[in-house]
Order: sequence, then structure tokens, then C-alpha cells
Amino acid sequence: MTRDLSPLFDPEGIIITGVSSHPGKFGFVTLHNILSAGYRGRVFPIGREPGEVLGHHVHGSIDDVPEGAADMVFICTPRRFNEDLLRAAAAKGVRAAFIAAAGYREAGPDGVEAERRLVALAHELGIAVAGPNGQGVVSTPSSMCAQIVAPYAPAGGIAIASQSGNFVSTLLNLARHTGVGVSRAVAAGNAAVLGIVDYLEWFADDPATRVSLIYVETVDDGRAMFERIRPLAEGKPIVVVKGGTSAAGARAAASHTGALASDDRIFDGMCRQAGLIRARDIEEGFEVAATFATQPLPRGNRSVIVTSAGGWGVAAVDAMADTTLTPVALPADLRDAIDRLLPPRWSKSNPIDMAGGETRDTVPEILEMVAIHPDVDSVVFLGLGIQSNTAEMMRGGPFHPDFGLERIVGFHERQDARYAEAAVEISERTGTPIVVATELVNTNPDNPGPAAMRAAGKMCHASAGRAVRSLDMLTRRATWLRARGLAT
Amino acid sequence: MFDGDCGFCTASARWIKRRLPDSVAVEPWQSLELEEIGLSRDGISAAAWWIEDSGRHHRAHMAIGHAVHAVGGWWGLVGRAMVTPPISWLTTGRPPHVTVTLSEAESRRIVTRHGIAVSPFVTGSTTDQVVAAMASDPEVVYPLVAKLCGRSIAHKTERGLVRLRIADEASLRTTCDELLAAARADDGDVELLVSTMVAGNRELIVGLATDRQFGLVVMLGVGGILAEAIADVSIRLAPIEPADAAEMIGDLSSQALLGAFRGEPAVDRESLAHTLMALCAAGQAEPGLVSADINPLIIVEGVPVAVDALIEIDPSADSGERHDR
Repeated sequence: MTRDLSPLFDPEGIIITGVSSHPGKFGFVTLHNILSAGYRGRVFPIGREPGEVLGHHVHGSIDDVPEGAADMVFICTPRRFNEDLLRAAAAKGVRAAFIAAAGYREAGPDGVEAERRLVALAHELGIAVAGPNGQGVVSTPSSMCAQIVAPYAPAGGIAIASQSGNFVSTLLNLARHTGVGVSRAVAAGNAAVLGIVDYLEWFADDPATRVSLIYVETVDDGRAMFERIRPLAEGKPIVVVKGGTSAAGARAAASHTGALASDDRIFDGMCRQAGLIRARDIEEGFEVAATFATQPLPRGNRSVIVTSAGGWGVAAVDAMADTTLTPVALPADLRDAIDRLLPPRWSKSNPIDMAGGETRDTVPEILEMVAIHPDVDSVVFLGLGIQSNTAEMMRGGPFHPDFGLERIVGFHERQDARYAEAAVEISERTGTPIVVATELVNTNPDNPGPAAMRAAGKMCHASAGRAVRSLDMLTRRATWLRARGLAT
Repeated sequence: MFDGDCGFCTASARWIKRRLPDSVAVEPWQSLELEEIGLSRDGISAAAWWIEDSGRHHRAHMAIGHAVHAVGGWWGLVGRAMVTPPISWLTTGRPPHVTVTLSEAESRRIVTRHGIAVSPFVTGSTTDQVVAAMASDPEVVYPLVAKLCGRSIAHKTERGLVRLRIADEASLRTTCDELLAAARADDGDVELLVSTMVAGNRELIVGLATDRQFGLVVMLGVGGILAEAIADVSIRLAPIEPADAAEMIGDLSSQALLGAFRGEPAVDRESLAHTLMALCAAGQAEPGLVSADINPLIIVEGVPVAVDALIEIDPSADSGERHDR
């Protein structure tokens, strides 16, 4: 049965224990982050020194909190205080706790015993306990950044649960960088009570979440995990990044099943079977999740590449060789229609290399023709931002704004913004994914092309290869669903 | 007798030798004629042995226990305890249920019962039984392959217990006689297995294994005896659904090998999927099944046919429970 985690992710009020006026202490930082992110519920700092911190009255005890005013407690105090604090909080109506404090299972035999008592207490009090030894929880629908570290992230459809706290920060930073936002993010810490699958079960019914992204290092009971995750994956996509895979390399020198079935290959097979989307590393995991969060699922594997220059298109075709995607032969009617829009030097095949022949409306028109064509399932659009890249040099050069530069710079910049907006609008309207890639997203993030993608909250990939890989994950997902009668 | 290449064995042997009466020789197996004392390299590389004057053998921890008992005094009591359950179980360092590898004949019967195609075969304890069984089974035809199999025989090929291309009854009789004569004391119960030789250019491996984390898993790989080097495998948790079986086949990298190949038709993917699902069914239904290997699974006219099978059973396991967690 799914645990109700709404008091953890959308609390009406938060008690924070261990708050002091020292801006280097976790209690202070957590209060700071909760207030800075604009949390709208009530906040009750608890600390030993009476007074004010960040304009909030610090209470000497949870007893001072009005009954029912808070349903979540964020615990920064050392281990020895926490059982009493949990009891006091539960008495006030608290139903969820995030325990940032360390010193539990990870800290030797004493800690193991303390964690065992914590688990028993959580069950006794009926409190959903996250952590211990975790960095916190983020929830954009509640504008909540209850973390002992940075950052907060823009709102969006990705829900994150991680067995590593610092990877939560990595993923939130990637969300900030790309503009593809997050619904929820939680560091599972020691996962004494709530584990990754408990979070996944709640994300499955969370209207703010479109895709879940998990980072897993250890699996306690793989069979149980599989049984619980498989029904979830039939709904929303779940992207998984597995750490600690390299140790699985050792194999016996005999050709039998036991020798061939190394741990990582079993995990990989489990992912395929359960419908989990497995990414190679945390960066790819974010990109794939961001693509799921911002693109429709393709109907099949026939892909067309639209590019303003040849090399990028070749890279995309090469990348497709390792995927389930097919750079489909350009349908004749599509070729004829595009031929009327471009000068004769264009490629006349897939990839559609416009060879610099595009004029004011060419790119949106071609994207639309390709996206609505019944023999095309997905589109890769490359070369966004190159006009603005030229414009940037003109704008910064010694001749601007004279010699007609001001006018052409403005035109280029408007064009790239338009292309980005067209790619977003057309994919949303037609239901055909259009993945976009340019290195400018990293090298020149203010370039109007990638900037417009970011403003729209859509993933813009840094290279053709990475865009193709994410698109392949969408395509595999569609194939998996179709093979089980879960999609048409 | 112990493994002279093993540091722990050598140290233990030195400890025991210092305390044993001179009537007991403590020797690394590398210095002995193994055949003379009725042991094989296979047997000894896995364990230490205690060999009584009568020729009786004791293996592994039982060997150490008898040795410690022979030291006498207090150590004698310790040694006595080591060979007596339940202490004898503790000294194995694992649960008392040791797995048993069924003979090829037993394994073939099991996978056949679950619907896996195996090369047609008959079995018998004597040459006459085999010849008679052959006469009554029209599917078993020359040329034949004959094997001596038994639960204790793990490496038939290495011991020359697999004979190929038997063309007629006269050679069959000679071969069966030779195989029976090749049986050794420590082979235990043995059985002759005679099957039609099937031919195909493509060999696959399918199997089941029990993983600590994920329970029973099913595997499909390319290459038969070369599977380890090719390492093109696809794994799922058992049981699987038809969609999983199809995806397992599609996940293999060597797709060209599954198409039409050297005059042979493409691999019938439905038959192969059926084989995988049938193997999972065997894994679910057979009490205590720990692992299964069908290697090679030869593609004959597009259809997979098992020509060898080995099933490992944990006799003490509670059947079924493991899969229902």
C-alpha cells in the first residue's frame, strides 16, 4: 500500500529542530533555505537559545508549537535528542519527519541500534520518516526547500529520489541550468523507514510529477523491488541511474549461466523487464528524465533529422546506429514539399541539411511538415542558435550598431528564439517529439536559441549524440508499452 | 592429502602433520598418483581428503575432522565432534543442504517434461538395455552420440565419456561396453545415454541461476561453449511473459546470427521464446531447483534443440516459496 507522503512533500507547517543563530549550522541553513525559497506554510524553529533567527521567533521546545499547526518536522539535532523530539512532534499532530542528523546505521554498532529504535518509534507513532543521514527534501508545488544544502530548483515535472544526497544537489543544479524543472526531490539517506520504492509509489499518483528519476546504489531485496516497481512503470516513466556497477566485472572462466549472470547484467535485465529506463550516469539520467518530462512519446522508431549544416546531421545518423532509431528514408512527398522551400543545394534526403538556404519562415515550416508526416515518428533539430552566434560577434565587435549591423543582429536573434518556440509549439501540437541540440546551451547559455528553450522549460541537449540517446529512451519506452498492450 | 598450491591447505596440513602419529602420511596431491588411490583431479582440487588404510575416503571438512581425531587427546574429541552432525555442518561454513547436480539423463527428463525440445534419446544401465530401448524408439536414429552420465560425473568430455558419430549397432555395443568399463568407484550410480546426433551451425545457451538479490533468473546467450568469450547474453527474472521472452531475444547483439545463416533458415523466435518460458516453468515447478544449464542449445533447421542439460537441486529447499516472496 502506498504511504501517504503528502505531509512530507506538501506540509501545512514545518517544525525545524536544532536552529541556532550560527549561519554555519544545519538548523540555520535549513531555516534560511525554507524561507528563501518562499515556503508559504507556517515555520516553527526550535532551538536552545531563545530569540530570533532570520526574523523568526525560536521556540525553546516543541511544546510551544500550537496543536495541529505543523505536520512535518525537520530534524537537525544530534541523534540523542531525536526520539524525544519525534514523540513531542507526533503529539502536536506531526505526521512526517525528515531526519538530516547523522550517527545512525552508517556510524557503527551504536548507530545500528539507534536506527533500529528509530524505525520502531516511527511505526509506533505512525510517522513517515525520511532519512536519517540525508540532506533534505524539495517540493516546488509548496515552494519548499527543506535542505541543509543548496540549491532550490525551478518547478517542473521531474520527481527525484536518491540514495545519494549530493546527487540530489547535482540534479537540482542541472534543473537550474537547463530550465527543466523538478516537482519533488528527496535524499533517502539511510532509508531506515522510507525507501526509494516508497517514494516512487507516491510519485506515481502525484499530479505534479510526469517522470521519476532515481539514483540507486544498493538494493536490499531486488525481487521485492522488481515486484513493486513493475506496476508503477506501466504508468509514468521511471529513469534509473545505478551506482557501483563496476565491481560486477569479475566472472568465472566457464560458460554456464552462473558465470554469465553477473550482478549488473541481472540488474539491467530487471530494468528491461520492469520497464525502467536505465541511464549510464547521473548527467544522462537527468537529460533522459528531462526529455520524458518535456516531450511526447513517439509512435515508432522512424526519425528525421533537420539541420542547418552537414556535420551535425552525420553525427546524429552515426549516433542512431547504436539505438533502436532508424534515420528513415525521406518520403517522396515530403522531399518534394521541402524542395519548394529551399534552394537546390539542400541534401534532398534524411538528414535534411538545409545548407544555409533557409529564409525567414523556412525552419518552422519544415519542422511542421516533418512532424505531421504520417511516416515520421520523431524529429531531431540541430543547429539552433548559430545565427545568434554570428549576431553575438557582430554585437560585440567595433562596428556595431553601424553598417546595418543593429538590424541584422536583431533579426538573427529573433529568428533563433522563433525556431526554439516553433520546435516546442509544433511538438506539443502534433504529438511528435522534436529533440533539439546545440553546444551553445553550455557555451553560450544566453544565446536566444537555447535561452528560449530554457524559458519554455524544455530540454535542449548539448550535442546531437546526446539528443539521439534521450530520444532512443523515449522510443524504447513506447516500444515496451506497445509490446504489453499499454500504448497504441 | 591436500592441495599443495593452496596456502590455507598447506598450513593446515603442516599443523596436522606435526601432531599426527608417523603412521599417517600428509601429502600434497601434486606428489601422488591419484588414479592409484581412486581420486580424480576434479575431486581433489575442491577439497582435502582423508584416506584410510581400507581405502575409504573422507572429503573436505570430514577429512580434517578425521585427521584432527587421529591426533588424539583433546584434539581427538574435537575431531570426533567435527565429523558428527550438527558440528560437521558448521565446519562446512555453509548451510547443511549441499546442492546436487542431477545427471544429464535426469536433467533431460525434467526439461522434456516442461516442453523443451531435446535431441531424441534413450537410456539404460546396460548395453543390452540401451540397444533394446533404441529398437523401440524410432526417433533415436544413427548416427548417435553415447555418454556415460551420473550425478557425480561433472566433466564427461574431459574424461572421454562422450562418444560421437556412432554409425551402427556393432559400434554402439562396443562403445557402451567401453563407457561402462570407464566408470570409477567414486562415480556412484551411472547410466548410459544414447541420443540422435543433431547438427546445426548455431549454438546458443539458455539457463537458470539463483541470484542472492533477485532470486531465480533466466539467461539466453550466444555461443554454446564459446558463450563466455562472446558474452552476448540477456537476462530476466523468472518467470517471464511472452513480451519479455521476445525482448530477451531482441536484446542479443548478434542479431545477424539469428537470421538466415549459411543455408539454414532464420531462428524461429517463437520456438526460442517457448524454450525460455518452458525453462522458467521448470524452474518454478521443480522443487529446490537452484540452477539449470542447457548448453549447447543447437539451432536445427531454425528450431532450438537441447543436446545437453544439467540441473542443480537443493534437496533441502522448500519448494516454491522462494519465487513467491
